[in-house]
Amino acid sequence: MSKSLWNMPDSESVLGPVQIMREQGEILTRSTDGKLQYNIQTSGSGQEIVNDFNIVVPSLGFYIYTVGRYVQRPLAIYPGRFHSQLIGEWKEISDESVFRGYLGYVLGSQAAADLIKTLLSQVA
Amino acid sequence: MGQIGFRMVALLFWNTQQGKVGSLVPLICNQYDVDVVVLAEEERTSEEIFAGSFGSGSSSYSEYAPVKSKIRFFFRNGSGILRMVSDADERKSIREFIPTAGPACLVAGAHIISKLRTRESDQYFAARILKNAVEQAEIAVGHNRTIVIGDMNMNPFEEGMLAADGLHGMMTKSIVIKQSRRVQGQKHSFFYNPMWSRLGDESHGPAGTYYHGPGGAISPYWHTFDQALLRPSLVPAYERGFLEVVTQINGTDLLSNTNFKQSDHLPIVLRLIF
Repeated sequence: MSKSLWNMPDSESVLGPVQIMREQGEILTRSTDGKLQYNIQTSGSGQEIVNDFNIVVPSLGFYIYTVGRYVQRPLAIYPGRFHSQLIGEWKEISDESVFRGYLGYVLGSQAAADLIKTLLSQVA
Repeated sequence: MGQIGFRMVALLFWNTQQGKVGSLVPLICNQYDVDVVVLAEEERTSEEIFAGSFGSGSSSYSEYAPVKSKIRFFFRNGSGILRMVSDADERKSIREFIPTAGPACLVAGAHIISKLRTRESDQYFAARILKNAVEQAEIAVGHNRTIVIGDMNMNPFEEGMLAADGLHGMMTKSIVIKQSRRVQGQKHSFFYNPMWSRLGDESHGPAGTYYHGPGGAISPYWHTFDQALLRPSLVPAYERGFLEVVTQINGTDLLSNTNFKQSDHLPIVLRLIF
């Protein structure tokens, strides 16, 4: 077996917005007994990568609501910018702690609570 | 209105500029027998929009607002139902219209950010987001009978509307029926954009849907920002003249001055026959 010449980082230490949004998606799915699920959709073109954090509601014909969108450069997780239609403005994200703090603000908002309530009330 | 055995579906889009259009929405609905109404920049309640403007025997409309959105959907009671599909952001909402007869269609309502407040590259970005949301929605519902309708704040010839990774809106049906084309190895599906045929003096109807005098070296004066695009699967349901830029509503001339007294945008009505 060949010896690796790569200086590979410890994968545990790389925690970007996608992983953090995925964690929160798992929590949402668990706390709603799977009624509300999530996906992270990554797309990109040219100079930017777009990561959409979607709530997916299987029993509503797989309705998708994009809770937030993190836009970054391909070769740097941070800095980037995050937009949530629940708040309605872009936030510059310099590092993981800023991202965690702002995502907490969005997901903990009254608008997010109203959205979850509206969706759950339509789930059979 | 439709031929015997066929079902006509009509959609209205109008940027009503914070309700400046007064009672014209129900009048235009009546005039064109509209099934689905999509409004942008409308802040009035459903009751205020449709208040008491119908005579006896006229249709009534209900709003479908399962989540908060700046793109508002209404349907004519008895014409069918709307259901949620996705909300990419507050300016792009996708619903499925399931008529009482005829096939279901996806309706993607959009109000892309204005040039006055952003750069053209941001509009292109928004168009790509919309295209991705439409493709996701088509996978979710299992068909691509899709209509994109709204205030794009771009003309049909601008990058976001025309680029392969944008909305890819072509000007002729003969190109669109090829379904898609490959660009640098990636397949991109077409839309048919009948608004190409609504540009300028010699088109059917006004020269555009929005008038804005020159602000720089390049200005066409008239812009065709309000558009309706169709996937190839809906092209057979579209006949010549089925897209109308409305200038007269029940005797009210919307072009009585170039600033359009009621709204700075003209309404568009799209009809399809199944």
